[in-house]
Amino acid sequence: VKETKKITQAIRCAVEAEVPDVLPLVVRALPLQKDRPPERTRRPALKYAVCLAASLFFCLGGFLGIPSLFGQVLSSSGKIGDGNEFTMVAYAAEAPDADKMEIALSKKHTLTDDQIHDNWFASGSGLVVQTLPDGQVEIEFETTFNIDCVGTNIRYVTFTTSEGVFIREQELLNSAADVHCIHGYTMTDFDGNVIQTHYYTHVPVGQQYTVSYAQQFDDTVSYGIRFTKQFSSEEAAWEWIDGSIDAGGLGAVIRESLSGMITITAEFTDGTRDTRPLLLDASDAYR
Amino acid sequence: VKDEKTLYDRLVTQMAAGDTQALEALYGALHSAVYGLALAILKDRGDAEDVMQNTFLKVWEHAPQYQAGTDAKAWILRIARNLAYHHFRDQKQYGILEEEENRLPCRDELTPSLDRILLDSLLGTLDSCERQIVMLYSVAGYSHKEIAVIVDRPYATVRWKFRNAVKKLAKLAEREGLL
Repeated sequence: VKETKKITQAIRCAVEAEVPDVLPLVVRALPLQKDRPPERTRRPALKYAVCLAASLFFCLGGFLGIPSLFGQVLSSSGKIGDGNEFTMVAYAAEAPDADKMEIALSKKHTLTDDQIHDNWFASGSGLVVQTLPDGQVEIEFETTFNIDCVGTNIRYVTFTTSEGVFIREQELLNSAADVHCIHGYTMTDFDGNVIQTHYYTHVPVGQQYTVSYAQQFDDTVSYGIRFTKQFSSEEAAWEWIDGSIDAGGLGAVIRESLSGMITITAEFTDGTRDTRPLLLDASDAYR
Repeated sequence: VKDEKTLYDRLVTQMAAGDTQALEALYGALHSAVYGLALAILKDRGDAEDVMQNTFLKVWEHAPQYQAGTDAKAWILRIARNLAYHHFRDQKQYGILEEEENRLPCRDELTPSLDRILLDSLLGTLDSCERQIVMLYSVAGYSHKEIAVIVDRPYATVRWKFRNAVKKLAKLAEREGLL
């Protein structure tokens, strides 16, 4: 805390010491009151029409790249065709190419308390602990990562999860059109130009998310999984200190409670399928 | 905090009516935060100065459209952020800009203070999102939750990135004997 205070204070002092005074320039350049642009009129009807259309579109589902909200998990269709191959590489969402490290696909990790602590600041993860209005304590752990399913003759790749919510996040600059969007928002400037758009697709247990083989290599996309657990105030007896982990209490909860399995299914061009389980516990984004 | 919000609301409302003194007061209160945020995005002091100037002009122009009670400070910082991104995009479009991550903070004739060295480290070491988060926390005095709204990131991500950034800066400061 002391360190944080010192650093943030130093940065504030440095900015305040060097910030130029542009007020005279601003005042000189002020447009006259009458030159101000007219207030924009809102068009809620259009907005609602777009929302309704989007809802219908997503509820109907079934299109390439759109999660089928009422879809069933794909089942394996038995023998895999000759020449069909399927391997996976999973790595931390923000790892540069050179640092891609494979995440174990079927072996669950056992974390030590030291590892949890060391990895607390690791790339692509976040933990929120909050007390709910009814007194329960909620822990939400979100970890992001990238997955490349590499192989031959793969046509589609489908993701499902056995626990938590599978998340696809896409961050785009200067672009607004994306059919994958379920949760998202767009930032525009005053001229209506799109500056940045974030899209989130949430795929809970029992639903699936399918992309074409090529689409999964989109650099703007990362994946994640979010686990949420609630505890009564008696159960949540661990000590929670902002920015640190009580290794014996909260650490144990992270280690033991927050895990799930993502199943990745490759559908090959000849119609056969193959699946890979990706077991994630709270450590997997820490590589 | 409530008083601060009420004050900024009142100042923007007065600006909407053409009160230049309200603009001066608002400028006095927020210019460091606006400059800091623009600097965090653009990593260039001259560009940050341009964005700061344009931000207050935009605020003046669009003050009549501001909806009272919706947090004027956050509104102004979002304008600054949008303009900085716009500036960045324009420069990139016209080939003026080098790769963002390769840009280095310019040095001026001032003897760098320890604070200044730390600020330059922030600009040189952290990624764009981390820079914005640290700047909004340090200079604008925002909490992680408020920053999450401005930078459009989940709260957990903001908190993690902030800790990560401070850890990096602390390491660097320790190595350089600044702390």
